Amino acid sequence: MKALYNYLFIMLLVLGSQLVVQAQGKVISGVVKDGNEPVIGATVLEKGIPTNGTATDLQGRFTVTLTGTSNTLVVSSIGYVTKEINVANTASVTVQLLTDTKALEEVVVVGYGTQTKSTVTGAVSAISRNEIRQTPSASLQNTLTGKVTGFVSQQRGGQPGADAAQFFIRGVSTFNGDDQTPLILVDDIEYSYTQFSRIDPNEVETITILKDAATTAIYGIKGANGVILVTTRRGKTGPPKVSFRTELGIQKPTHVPNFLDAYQTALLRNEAIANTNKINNENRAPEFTTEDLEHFQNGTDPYGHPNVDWYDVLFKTSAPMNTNNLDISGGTEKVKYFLSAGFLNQGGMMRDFTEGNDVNGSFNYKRYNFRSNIDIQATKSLAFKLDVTGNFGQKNAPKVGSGGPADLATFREVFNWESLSPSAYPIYNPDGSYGTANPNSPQAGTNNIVGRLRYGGYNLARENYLNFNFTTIKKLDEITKGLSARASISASNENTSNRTMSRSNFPSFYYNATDDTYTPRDINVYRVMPWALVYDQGDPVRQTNIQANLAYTRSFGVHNINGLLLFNQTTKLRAFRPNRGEDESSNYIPDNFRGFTTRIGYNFKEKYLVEVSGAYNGSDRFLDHYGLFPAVSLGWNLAEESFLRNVEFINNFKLRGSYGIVGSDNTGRFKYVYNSQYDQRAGISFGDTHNGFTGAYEELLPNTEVTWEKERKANLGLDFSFFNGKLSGTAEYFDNFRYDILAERNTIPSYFGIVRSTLPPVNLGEVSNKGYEAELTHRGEIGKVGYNIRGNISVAKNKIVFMDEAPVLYPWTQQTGNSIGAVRQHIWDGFYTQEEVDIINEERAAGQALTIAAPPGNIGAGYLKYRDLNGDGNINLDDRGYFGKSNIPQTNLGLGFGFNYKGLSFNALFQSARDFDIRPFHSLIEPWKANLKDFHLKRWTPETAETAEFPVLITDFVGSYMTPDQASDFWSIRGNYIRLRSIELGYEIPQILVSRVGLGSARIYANGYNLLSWSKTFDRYGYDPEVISNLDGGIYPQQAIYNIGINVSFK
Amino acid sequence: MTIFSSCEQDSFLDQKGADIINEQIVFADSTYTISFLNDLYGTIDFNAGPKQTSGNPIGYGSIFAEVTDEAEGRYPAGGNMDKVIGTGTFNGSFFSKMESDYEYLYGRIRHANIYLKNVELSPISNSLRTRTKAEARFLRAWYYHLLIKHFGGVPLVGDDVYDKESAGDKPGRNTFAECVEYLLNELDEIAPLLPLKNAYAGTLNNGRVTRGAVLALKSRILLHAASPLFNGGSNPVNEPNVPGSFATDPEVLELVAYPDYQQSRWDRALQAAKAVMDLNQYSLVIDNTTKPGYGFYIVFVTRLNDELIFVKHRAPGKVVETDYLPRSRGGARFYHYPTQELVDKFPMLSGKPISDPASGYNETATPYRNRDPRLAYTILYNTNEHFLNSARALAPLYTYVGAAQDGLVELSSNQATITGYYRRKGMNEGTAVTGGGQNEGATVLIRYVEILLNYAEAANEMGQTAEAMLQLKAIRERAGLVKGVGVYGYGLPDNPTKEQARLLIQNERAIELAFEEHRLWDIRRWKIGGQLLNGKPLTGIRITKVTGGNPGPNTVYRHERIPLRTRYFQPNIYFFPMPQTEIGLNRGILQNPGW
Repeated sequence: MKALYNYLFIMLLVLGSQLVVQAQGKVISGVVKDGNEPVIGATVLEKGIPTNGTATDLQGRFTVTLTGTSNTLVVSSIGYVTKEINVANTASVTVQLLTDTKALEEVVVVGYGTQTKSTVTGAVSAISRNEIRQTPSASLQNTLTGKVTGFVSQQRGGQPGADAAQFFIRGVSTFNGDDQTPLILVDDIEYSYTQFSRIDPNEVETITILKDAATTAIYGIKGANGVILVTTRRGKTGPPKVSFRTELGIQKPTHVPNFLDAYQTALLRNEAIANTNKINNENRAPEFTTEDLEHFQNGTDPYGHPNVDWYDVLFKTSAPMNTNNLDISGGTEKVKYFLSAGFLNQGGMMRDFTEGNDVNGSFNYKRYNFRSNIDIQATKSLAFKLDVTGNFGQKNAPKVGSGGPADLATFREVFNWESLSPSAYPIYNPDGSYGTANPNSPQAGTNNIVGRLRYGGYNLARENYLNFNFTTIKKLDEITKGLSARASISASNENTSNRTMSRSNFPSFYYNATDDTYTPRDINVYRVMPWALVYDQGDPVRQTNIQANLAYTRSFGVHNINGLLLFNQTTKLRAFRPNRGEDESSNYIPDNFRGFTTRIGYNFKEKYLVEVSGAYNGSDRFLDHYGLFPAVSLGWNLAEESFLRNVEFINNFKLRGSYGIVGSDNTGRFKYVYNSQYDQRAGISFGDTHNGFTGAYEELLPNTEVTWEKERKANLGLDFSFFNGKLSGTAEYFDNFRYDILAERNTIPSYFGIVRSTLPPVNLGEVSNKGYEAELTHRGEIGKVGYNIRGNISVAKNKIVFMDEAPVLYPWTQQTGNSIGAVRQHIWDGFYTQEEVDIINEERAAGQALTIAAPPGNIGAGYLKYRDLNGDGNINLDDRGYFGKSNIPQTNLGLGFGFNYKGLSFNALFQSARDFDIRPFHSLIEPWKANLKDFHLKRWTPETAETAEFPVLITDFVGSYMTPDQASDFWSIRGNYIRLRSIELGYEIPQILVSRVGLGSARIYANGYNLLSWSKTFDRYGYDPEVISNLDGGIYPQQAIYNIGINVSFK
Repeated sequence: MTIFSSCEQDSFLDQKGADIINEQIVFADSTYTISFLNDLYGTIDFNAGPKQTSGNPIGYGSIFAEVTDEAEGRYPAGGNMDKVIGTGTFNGSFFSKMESDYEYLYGRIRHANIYLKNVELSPISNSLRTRTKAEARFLRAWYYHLLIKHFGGVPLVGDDVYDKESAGDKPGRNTFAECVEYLLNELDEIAPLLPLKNAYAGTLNNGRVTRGAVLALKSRILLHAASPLFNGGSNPVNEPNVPGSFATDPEVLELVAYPDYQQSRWDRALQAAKAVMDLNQYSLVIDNTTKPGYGFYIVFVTRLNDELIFVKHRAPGKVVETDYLPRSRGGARFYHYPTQELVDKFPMLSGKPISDPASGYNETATPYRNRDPRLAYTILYNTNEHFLNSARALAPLYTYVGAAQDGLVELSSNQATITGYYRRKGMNEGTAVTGGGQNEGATVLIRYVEILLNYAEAANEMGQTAEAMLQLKAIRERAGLVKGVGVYGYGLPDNPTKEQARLLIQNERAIELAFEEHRLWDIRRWKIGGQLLNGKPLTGIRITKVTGGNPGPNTVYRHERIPLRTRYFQPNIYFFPMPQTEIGLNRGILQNPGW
C-alpha cells in the first residue's frame, strides 16, 4: 500500500514539476534509501520553497536545483519520518529515511475508496496478500480464518472443488436463512459466495472486512450482513516484473476414523441381541456362533467371514495438490499492467479402481484463473482501467450411488454399518467375480463398492466464470481542485454444466463358502451394463453493473474534507434449468437494483473526525422501492491532543464510534413477493381413456407491504499503537439489532386453510446480536531477529427477540429468546439402572402413574435417562427445550506468531472456535446404522455402569428414543476445537546467489494448513468439528495440507 | 445522464415479466376456472394413494396399512411414521405430520371455498356453474370427512375464505354431531345437482363426482357414525368396559363422538347404503371364467368398470408396481410387507376359514394351496407368479430364506421382506418395474363392494342378519370361491348369530378391502385395536427350502411363523392429536383424549 501511494505521489509531482519555474542555482543530486532499498517516489523539496521540488525515481535518485537560501532539503515519503538534510557543503547526498511506525499500515480500503488508518472511524479489519498466501488452500475464504476479527467460518468438508468454508461477519443476526451471507465485492463488483472461493489468491492485494454501520451503510439495502472487499493487484511503473510461483502439496484428512474390526463388531452384535432379548423378553439366537467369531478373529475364512478395513481399501493416505501462478506486472506512466495466470490441480483421496476402464472416476478439481488489470493514463486528467478476469473449473467425482449427494456416497457408506460393515462381503470371490453381501443381511442393499467405483463412471461439473470491468476516471480540478469523476461498467457471466457417465449395474455374486455356490445379486443383471450419458446444461447467472461517482478530497489548512456521491445500478439474471423441481417462472426476469450513495467526511487536524454516510437504495423486490440508510461516525485521535502528545510511548490512540441503519433485501425467493401467485400442476386424469388435466392452485399469497430487513448497528472502537508500533491493537464492541426480518407467520390458525408453503414472508422478526472483538499485535526485535505475536478474539451472540411464535405450553419450549439455530433437546441425566427399570415396569403393568419418568416404549437398564421437565412422568416432546447452542461458533480465537532473521521467516497461526454445538446423525453414531468405533466400547454394561459413556447396546436403536433425531445433550456436544490452522517457513535466497542465475529474487517455503487439530468430536464421532450438524455421513473429510513452494521473479 | 431521469428510474424497478397467474386471471377465464376446481381432484387420495402419487404433499402415502395388522413398513428406523405410530414412540415428526395433515386438509377446504366464492364471476355457463359448485361442495365434504376420521370433530368454517391477516373470532371445535349433520346436509343438497355415472360415460367427465359418489360418501359417513367408537358413551360392543370414544371428559366426548348410543343410527346407515344400491348404477365385476377371482383382480387394473364409484384416475403407468414390487421385479421401494395375520384372514377356496380342521389347510408344507383366489391377487407369497423381465413372462417369486434378492431378511434389514410377503393388490400381473405393460387402474377410493359391506354391517346390527349374509355370498361368489353347499354356500354358515355374522363381515371387509385404506378406520370404529394389536407382535413366515438345487415346481418348503415387532395400540390412537399450535393459539380448542 505504501508503494501504491508513492506512485500516486510520483504522478502528482511529475505533473507538478513541469510547472516549477526553473531558476539558476546549486544543483543537488542524491539518492533516498531505506537501508539498502531505494525509496521510490519520495518527495524532495527545498525548505521554505514548496514549489521547488521533485520526486525520486525508480532507483531512488533525484536532482534538485536550489533557488533559495536555506541550503536544506526536506525529504518525505508516506510511511517514513520526514527528514531535513543540510546540503550546504555537498552536491551529492545519500538520504536514509527511517520508517514511521505511526504510519504503518496507513491505508485502509473502504467502500469505493481508501482512507488513511488514522482517519478511519468505522470498524474494519484487513488482511494483505502475504498473510493470505501463508495458508495454502484452494478456496480463498479458508485463508482468512483466524486472521481477521469478526470473520466466522466453518469449513464443512474437504472435497476438491467444494472445500470452501461457510462464513459470516459478526455471526448471524437474522433467522431468515437466505439472508445471512455478507456482500462480497471484488474491485467494487458484486461476487457470489461461490465465486469468492474461486478467486486465485495470487490476484489479491488486500481483503477488507467492513463490519459496522459507518462502513456498510453506503451499501444500503445490501450491507446489513457485513461486506467483504477484495482489491486485486495492479501494475506499477517500472520494467516488467515476471514472477512465477509453484507449489506442491499433499492433502491428508484431519482425522482418520478407526472402526472396530469384524470380530469386535460381531461380539458387540451378539451382546446387543442378548441385551434386547432381556429387555423385550424375547429369545433370538446370537447372530454369530463361536465358530463365526473364531473365523473373524483368525481370518481363516476370508470369503465366508470377511474382515475388511473398508477405509483402507477405499482411500489413500494422501492426495496431491499443485498450484502454479505466473504474473507479469510493470508499466510506464501511460500504461500499467498486471497480468496473472493460475492453475490449480487438486487430487482426491479415493483410490483409483478404474484402471483399463478409460473413464476417470477420481475426485479431482482443476481450476484455471486469469486476470488482466490494465491502467491507461490517457491524458493528465483522464485515465482508463480495463480489468478482465475469469476462471474455468472442473470438478470430477466418482459416480457411485444415490441418496444424499451421490458423489459422496462412498464417504457415507464407509461410516455406515448397513452398507459397509467390516464383514459385509469379500471384495472379490474365489473365482475373481465381485462379491456381494448375503442377501439376508442388512448390507445387501448396495452393490460391491469396489465394483461400483470401477464401473460406475463419473460426474464432471464444469464451471466458467467471466467478468470484465471498464472504468474511466476524470480529474475535474478545473472545476474545483480535488474533484474527480469516475464511471464504470461491468458484466459477468457464470455458466455451469454437468456431464455424467454412469452405468446402472454390473454382476456380482454372493459366494456361499459352505456349499461353494454363487448366487447372483440381481437375477436380471448378467453383464456390465452399458454407459449412459447425461448432460445437463446448468443454471446460468448473469450480472451487469453500472457505477458513476464524483469524489472530492481537499485540505484547507487544518480542515480536511472528503466527499463521495455515487450512482450504482445492478441487474441480475438467472435461470433454472428445466425439470429440476425449481420454479422456472422467473427465469431471465431481471432482479434490479439501483442506488445512490453519499459519504462526507471532515476532520480537524486529523484529530476530530466526523463522517456522515448513507445510501438511498431501491430494489424491484419491493413495491415501495426506495429506502434511506444513513450512518454517522465520530473519531477522536487522543494521541494528537496536547496532553498526550508528550507521552512518548503513545503513537496513536483513537476512540471512535458509529451508528446507523443498514438493510438487507434478500426475500429468499426469486420472485416478487408482493404478487399473489397462482400456479398450475399436472396429474389429474379424466375421461374414459386417460386425458391429462392440469389443476390451478393458490401458490403464494401476496405481501404487498414487503420491505427490506433493517439492522441498527452501533459500534464503539479503540485503535492504539504504542512504543513506536511495537504494541498495537484494536478493540470493538458492537450492538446490532435486526428488525423487519422476513419470515412466515407462525400464528395463523390451521383452519384458515392457508398452507404454510403459500405464506409470503412478512417483515416481523427481531434479533439482537451483540459482541466484541479485540486484536493485539506485538512486533519487536531481538538482535537481528524480528518477531511478532498477534492475538485476536471475536465474540458474537445473537438472540431472537421476536419471531411470531405460537404460545407454548412450557417456557423451555419457546424458541424466542434463544439464539438462532439453537436445537430443541432433552437434558441427559445418565443411564437408567436396573432398579429404576423394574419400578417403571411394575408401575406400568399396574397402570399407575410413573414415579420415575420414562419415555414411551420398552426401556432397559443402561438406556439414556432424560430429565422430566414438566414432571408428568412421561419423557416426550414437552421435555425438550431450547438448551443447545447453534452450530455457528460464538467465539473465535486466533493466535499467531512469527519471526524473521535475514532471509528466513517463520509464521504460525493457531485458531480456535468455541461455543457451538454439533450433533451427528444416525449413520455416524448409532450402532447398526453406524459402523462401531472405539467409542462404542465404552458402552453401558452392568459392570461398567459407573464409567459408561454410551448406552447399553441393543439391536434397534432406530426403533428406540435413543437416536440423535430425538435430540439431547447426550448427542449434541460442544464442537470446540483448536487447530494449528497454518504454518509457514520461508527462506529468501540471498540476492547475490539469485542474480548469478539471472533471477530477480527467489524464495522457497514450506507451509501447511490444518496440520494439528484438537476436538472432542474426533474420538467420539470420528469426524471433524467443522462439518455441519445433523450430518448423516457423506461428507468428504476436511483436509490438512502440507505444501512446499518456490517463488521466483525475473528481472 | 438520462439514467438519473425519474421516468426511467421508475420503470427500471417495476415488475418485469407478467406471465404469472393470480386469482383475478384464473376466475376471468373459463379454462383456468375449471383447472382451479380440478386441482381439488388431484389430492383426493390423501394418505391413501401409492406413496409417490399421494395427494398428501408430505409423501407418506398409505402408511396407515403399516400401523394396522395389514402390513409391516419396510424401514426399520424408528423415525419412520409407521414405527412411530405402530410402536407408540410418538416423536416430533409425528406431531409435525399431524399438524401438516390438519393444515393441508383445511388448505383443500379453503381451495373449495375460493372456488365457491369466485365462480360466480367466471364466464362459464349457468349449468356448468351449478354442477361444478356441487362438485366443489362434495370435495369440501370429502376433505372434511378425512379430517373427522383423523381428528374427530373439527372447526367448521362454512364458506369463509380467511385472509392471512384475519383476526377476530376464532372458532373452537364443532362437536362430532354437528360435523356429521353439516356433511349430511351438504351431501343431501348437492346430490340432485349432480348427474349419474352413466351420464358421464364416453365423456371427458368420467372421473368427476357423480350422484353415486355423493350417496356413497353419505353411506360411509353414516356407517362410521353408527359404529361403536362414535355411537354413544357406553356402547357394549367388543370392548365393553371402555366407554365409546375413550373420552372421559364430557366436553371432549361430544367433540369426538355422540355422547349417547342410538340404535337408529344403524338404520340411517342401512338406508344410506341402500340408496346407493337402488341407483342401479353399480355392480360387482365378475369374471371367474378367465381365472377364478379374475373379476376381483380386474377392478384395480382397468379404467372403466362398474364397480368404481369414486376414484382417482391415473395416467397409465406403474405407480403401484413401482411402490411395492420386490427387487427381482425391478422394485427398489417395496414400502411395506403384508403380515401373516392378513394372510390368515383369507379362507380356503371352499370358503372355510383355515382354522377349521376340515379346511385341509397345511401350514407347514403348503399354506397357499387351495386358498381364496383373492389371496394371490393381494399378496405376493413364495412361488406366486408375477411378470419377470428377464423371462419376459410370469415366473414364480421366491421369498424363502436365501432366495436371491427377494428372500426373507432380518428384522433390522430393509433389503427385502421381513414377513415373507410382498404386496400385490392393485398391480398388473403382467408388468414389472422394468419391462411389461402398463397399469390402467385407478386409486380406488369408494367402490361398490364397500357399499355392500356397509349394507351388510348395518343390516346385521339392525337384526337383518340374513340380508347381511346375502351380501357376503355375492362378494364371495365374485371372489371365485367354490360355491359348495348350504343356505349361502361359499363356506358361509347357514344360520349365524348376529355376533358370528359381525365377525364374518369384519373378516370379509379386512380381506376384500385390504390396502385400500379402510383397515385403520375400521379397527378404530369397531374399537378392536387394543385386543388386536396392543402389546402383541405381528407375525411373518419363515420359509426354508427343504430340497436342494434351484427352486422349481417340486421343491419342498417348510413354513414356520416368526414374530415381528411388538405393536402399540393404546386408546390415544383412536383419535390423532390436534396440533399443539392450534391449542396454543386458541385455548378453546380442546385436545383429543390421551394426548
